[in-house]
Amino acid sequence: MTTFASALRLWLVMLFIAAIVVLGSLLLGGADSSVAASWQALRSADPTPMHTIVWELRLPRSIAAFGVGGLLAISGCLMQILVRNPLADPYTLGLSGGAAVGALGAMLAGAGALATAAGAASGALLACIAVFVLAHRDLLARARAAQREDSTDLILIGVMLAAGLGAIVSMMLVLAPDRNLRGMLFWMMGDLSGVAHGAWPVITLLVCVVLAAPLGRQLNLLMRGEESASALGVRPNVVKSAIFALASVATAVAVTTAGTVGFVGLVVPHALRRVVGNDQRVLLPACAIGGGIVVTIADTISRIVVDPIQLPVGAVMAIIGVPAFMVLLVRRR
Amino acid sequence: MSLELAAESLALSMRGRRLVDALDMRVAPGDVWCVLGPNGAGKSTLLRTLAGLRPADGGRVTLGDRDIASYRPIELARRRGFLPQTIVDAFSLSVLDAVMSARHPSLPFWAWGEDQPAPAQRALRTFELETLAERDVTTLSGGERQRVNIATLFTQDVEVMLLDEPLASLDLHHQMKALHELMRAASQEGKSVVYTVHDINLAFQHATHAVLLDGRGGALAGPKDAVITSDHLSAAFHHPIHGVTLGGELFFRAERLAEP
Repeated sequence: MTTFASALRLWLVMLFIAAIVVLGSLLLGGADSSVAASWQALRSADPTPMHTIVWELRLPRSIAAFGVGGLLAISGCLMQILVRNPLADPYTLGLSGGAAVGALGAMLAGAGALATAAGAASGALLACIAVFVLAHRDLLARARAAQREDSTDLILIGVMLAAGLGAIVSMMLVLAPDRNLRGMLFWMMGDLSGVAHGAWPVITLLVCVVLAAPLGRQLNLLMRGEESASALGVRPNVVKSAIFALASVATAVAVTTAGTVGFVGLVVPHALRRVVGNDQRVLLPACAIGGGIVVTIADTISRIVVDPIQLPVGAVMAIIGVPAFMVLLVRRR
Repeated sequence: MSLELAAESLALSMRGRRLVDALDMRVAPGDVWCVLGPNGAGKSTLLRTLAGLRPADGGRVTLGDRDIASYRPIELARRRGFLPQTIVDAFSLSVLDAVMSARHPSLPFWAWGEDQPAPAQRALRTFELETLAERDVTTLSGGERQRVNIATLFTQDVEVMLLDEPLASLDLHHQMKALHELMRAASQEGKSVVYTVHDINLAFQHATHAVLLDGRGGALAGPKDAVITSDHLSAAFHHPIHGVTLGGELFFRAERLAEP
C-alpha cells in the first residue's frame, strides 16, 4: 500500500531526474558543439549562434519531447484501463490511423508543417468520433445487458478501424511521389525535428494529469471489473467516457506534435507498474513524468548519434527500450 | 441505523423469459437469507436486482423504505455491498490494495485512505489472509482469490451484504468459516445477508430464511423451515430430494439416478 507521502516522494524524485534529463538534452548536441559551449550559451544572454541553437532549437524540442512522451504514457495507461487489457496502447482505438491519413494527405497535397499538424489533428478527431459513435453502447450503457466483463467489442471496433485506415495509409505511401516519401515515413515513425512550439504538449499534459488524478480511486475499482466497481459506487459509463475523452485528447495532441511515436504508450505504464505498483493515483502522474523522461532521452540520442543525420525517435526508443523492458520482465520471475 | 431490504411483488425476466412472477420478501437486520434454485433459475439476477445493479422487471425493491432506484450509486455503496460471482483481474494488484479499494464509498472525495487500515486488517485476519497481504492477486489460487473478494466485501463494512455464490472454489474449512462469519455478522452486528448457494445442507445450517426459485415463475420466500422442505425442493429441482434426520439435525439427500 503506497501512502500519499511516499507517492509524493516518488514524484519529486522523478521530477528531479526529469530536470536533469532535460538539462542534458539542452547541453548535448552534434559533433561541432561542446557541452561547455552549450552551457555558456544557456547561461548568457549574448546573441551568439550557439545561444540561438540552445534556446530556439533545442529547448522547444526537449520540452515538446517531454510533453509528447508524458501524453502518450498517460494515454496508454488510461486506455489499458478503459479496455481492461494490458496490451492496449494509445493507438488501440484507431486514433493513430486517423491522424496518419490526415497528416499524410496534407503532405501529399504539398502542405507545410502547420497544415500537416492540422490534418493530423482533424484525422485523429474524426477517428475518435467514429469509435465513439460505433461503441457508444459499450461506453455509455448504464447497466450491462449481459454479465459481460470484457471490452472485446470496443477493442474490435478500434482494431478494425485501425486496419481500414492502415490500408488507406499504405495506398497513400504507394501513390506518393518519391520526394514526399521520406517525410511521410518519418512522420509515421515519430519525428520531433519540425517542432516549433514546444509548450502545447506540456500544457495538455498538465491538464490531463490534473483531470485524471481525482479519478484515481474510481479507476482502481474499474480496473477490477465494471460490476464490482458499480457495486462500490462508481458510475462506469461516466468514468469510461471521461477516460476515453482524456486519452483521445492526449494522444491527438501528441500525434499532432510528433507523428505516431510508438512503444512509449505501451511500455512505460507496464514498466512503472512493476516498479511503483498498480495504484492509478500513483501511477498516472508517474507515467506522465516517466514517459517524458524516456522520450526526451530517446530524442536526444536520435539527434546526436549519427549527426548530422537525425534518426526517427520512435525507432531509437524501441531499439533501446525493448531490451530494457525485457530485463525488467524476466528478472521478476 | 437499521435498514430493511425488501422486494415487493418483484418480477424478473431475462431475454424475454419470465424467471420470477411475483416475489415478496423482507430482509430485516439480523436475517441471513439463502437463495436456492436450479441453474438458470435467476438466483444471480435476483441478487443483482436486490443490489440495485439492474432495474426490476416488475414490482420494486426498497432499501430503508426508499426505492432502490432512487439512490445515487455512491449512497447505495455506503449501505449495501455486493460480491459478484467472478472478478477477473487483468492486471496485477496486491491483496492489500484490492481489499483497501472497498473503502472508496466511505472516504471523502480527496482522501487517500491510508489512515483507515483497520477494517481491511480486520477482514484479512478474519479470512486468514494476513500472510498473503503483499501477494499479487493474479498469482493466487481460485479459493484464495475468493477469500480476498469476501474480505473486500467485509472491508466495505455495510449494513446489507449480498453475495453471489460466496462458497465457489472454497475448501471445506473456508466454506464453513465464510458462512460462520456471515451468521456472526448478522446475529452480533445486526447486518443482513443474502447469498446464493448450491449446497442445500450448508444453506439449511447457515440461514434464518430462504428463497427457493424454480425458474418458471415460481418463487417461495420465508423462514427456512417453511421453505426448505423435501416437497418444495423436489418440485423446484425436478429431482427427488428426501429429508433425513441425523443426530437430531435435518439433512437433505438427492436420490441417486437409476441405471439406464
